[in-house]
Amino acid sequence: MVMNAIRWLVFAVAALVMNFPVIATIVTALKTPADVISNASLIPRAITLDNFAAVFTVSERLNIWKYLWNSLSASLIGTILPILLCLPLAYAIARRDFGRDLLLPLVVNLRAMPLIIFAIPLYMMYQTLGLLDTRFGLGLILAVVNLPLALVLLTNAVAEIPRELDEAAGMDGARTGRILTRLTLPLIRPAIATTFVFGFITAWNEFLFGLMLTTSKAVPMTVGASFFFSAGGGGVQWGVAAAVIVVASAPPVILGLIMYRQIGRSMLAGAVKG
Amino acid sequence: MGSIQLKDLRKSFDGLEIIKGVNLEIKDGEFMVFVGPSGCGKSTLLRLIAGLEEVTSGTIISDDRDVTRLQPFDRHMAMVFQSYALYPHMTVRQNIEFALKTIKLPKAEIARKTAEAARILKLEPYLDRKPAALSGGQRQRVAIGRAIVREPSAFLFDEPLSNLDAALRTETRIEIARLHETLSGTIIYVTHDQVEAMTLADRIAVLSDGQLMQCDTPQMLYERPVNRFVAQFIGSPKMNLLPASGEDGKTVMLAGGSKAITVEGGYTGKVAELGLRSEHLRLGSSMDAPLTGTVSHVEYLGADASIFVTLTSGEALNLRGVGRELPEVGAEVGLLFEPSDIHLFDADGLALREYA
Ligand SMILES: Nc1ncnc2c1ncn2[C@@H]1O[C@H](COP(=O)(O)OP(=O)(O)O)[C@@H](O)[C@H]1O
Ligand SMILES: [Mg+2]
Repeated sequence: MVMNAIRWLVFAVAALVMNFPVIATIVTALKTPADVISNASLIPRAITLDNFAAVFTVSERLNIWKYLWNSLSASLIGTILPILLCLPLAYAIARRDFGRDLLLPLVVNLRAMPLIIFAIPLYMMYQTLGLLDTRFGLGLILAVVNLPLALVLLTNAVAEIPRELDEAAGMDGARTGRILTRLTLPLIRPAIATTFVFGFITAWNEFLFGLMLTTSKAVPMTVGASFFFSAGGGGVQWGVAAAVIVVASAPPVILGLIMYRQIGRSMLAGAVKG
Repeated sequence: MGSIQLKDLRKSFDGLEIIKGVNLEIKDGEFMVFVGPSGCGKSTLLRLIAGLEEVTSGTIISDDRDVTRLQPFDRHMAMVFQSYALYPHMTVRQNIEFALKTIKLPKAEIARKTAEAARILKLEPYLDRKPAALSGGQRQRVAIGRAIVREPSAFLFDEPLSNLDAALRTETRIEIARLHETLSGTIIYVTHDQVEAMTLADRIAVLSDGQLMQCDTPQMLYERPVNRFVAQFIGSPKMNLLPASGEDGKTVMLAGGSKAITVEGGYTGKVAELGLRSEHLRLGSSMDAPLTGTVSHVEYLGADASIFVTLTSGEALNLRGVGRELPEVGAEVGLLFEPSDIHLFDADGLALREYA
């Protein structure tokens, strides 16, 4: 009994400490401006939704819907494109040993480089191609950022499928296309979901390229959120800033909650052995 | 429909030869078993026939058609994998239908064939389950079902019973034998278990180290093994081998023995070893027996017993004891045998006896 109580206490404290920034932000977003200044406690004197209302109305200039849409479209491009590109490649690497010794390490090591290295050449390239300040342009670079993760996760997932399944399907008359769509794809669905969730989180939270490559039309939520800090003119409006951060963080969190059951699952039970 | 010929078939992996020139003819409708110790190349040979491995050299003929370079599917053979290799995300029905849907058979025909296979294999109650929800024996039957709906010219089985427990293994073995009668297709069946081989096969191909040792009926393999390897691999317990000599083509002498044994039918070559199966040895008085020794151990098995004897010459051998009168450990015994039951081998292990 006592042990149990202590265990729960430790859990509660740990949860509180680890989530302190999150809790503090949410609480601040719910406080009145006066409360933010005078009351440092985690318990607000009065709860208000004014800050959230302000996020959507604070200024003509700042359109949070646009930032959300920009982030959503760029993130979806930046997540789905690498999955589509890596699916056939993962199959080729795992099943035909295509580029396993060269391509895979090369792509993965690319990810180890600080992204800022890409900044200058990319800017110049985008300028020439007219991709600056476009959602598609932002999505493309996010796809590059996510590509290595997608390749590693999907290649491992394909490699985990027993080769005998492919062979059995081959004996059943299926060619590579049918094996890919009817066998490989359904069996690596959890890995695709994992790639999608982590890729989306990475893409959504990306700041550097958003700042560098967009100016007005395609500004993503991360960059747009920073505009709110001084939106009312004068000093920082902490309540509004906190509210905008809560709104800006919500989509990946919601996605994670919806998809977490898919992550890390295996579809292979019952394939081989008794 | 279903004859298969292997001509000087060879397979190397990374320069290492695993299948070393196999010649074999499998007749239409025959139940052929490949047997041999683990690692001797049975699975590789089967996969070469299936088309899952590329042949290094040699030819595979199926029904007078050279299939050596054909894709697996175009060889009209079906394989039951050792691991079953069921499609885990599909139901039993979808697993069985997969091949038929791949070749785009009409729906009604797919349904009819699937129902027929499910009936033969008693899978009807499980058609809508996923493989994960099936027992080992049921998965096995699904794997077989997937093969039989295709109506192939030959079925290839790779150690299909090795993942089942002992009781289920015997049961499934009988089912497979019955299935062969029902389907009357050619079967090539790989196993390392000589009991499975003996009970199922029309003919057995004994493999060792990538080479075909002998291919014949179970009875012929048992009675007339062509070499020491086959003699010791087929039959349980292992055939006893004793040092012996002789080169006159008529008589042999056991090492340390005093009386020459006349060999019925004669032999050719220089004898190095004499083989005797345990069931061909009898206990007798130690006075006039050609072999004498001391009982070192007795294993009582109910129906019979294994008696281990250390010969005066130091060799150990075993014989089958029957009935209730078993010798005591330590007893001095003589061992008797019929000269017609002996096997003779030269120093290279080749069998030497001539049979009428
Ligand atoms: N794909 C492969 N690559 C390299 N060596 C292999 C491969 N497949 C089988 N072998 C080798 O061939 C030999 C025979 O294997 P296998 O045919 O599986 O034997 P068995 O089925 O008789 O136990 C083994 O030594 C094994 O290591
Ligand atoms: Mg094997």
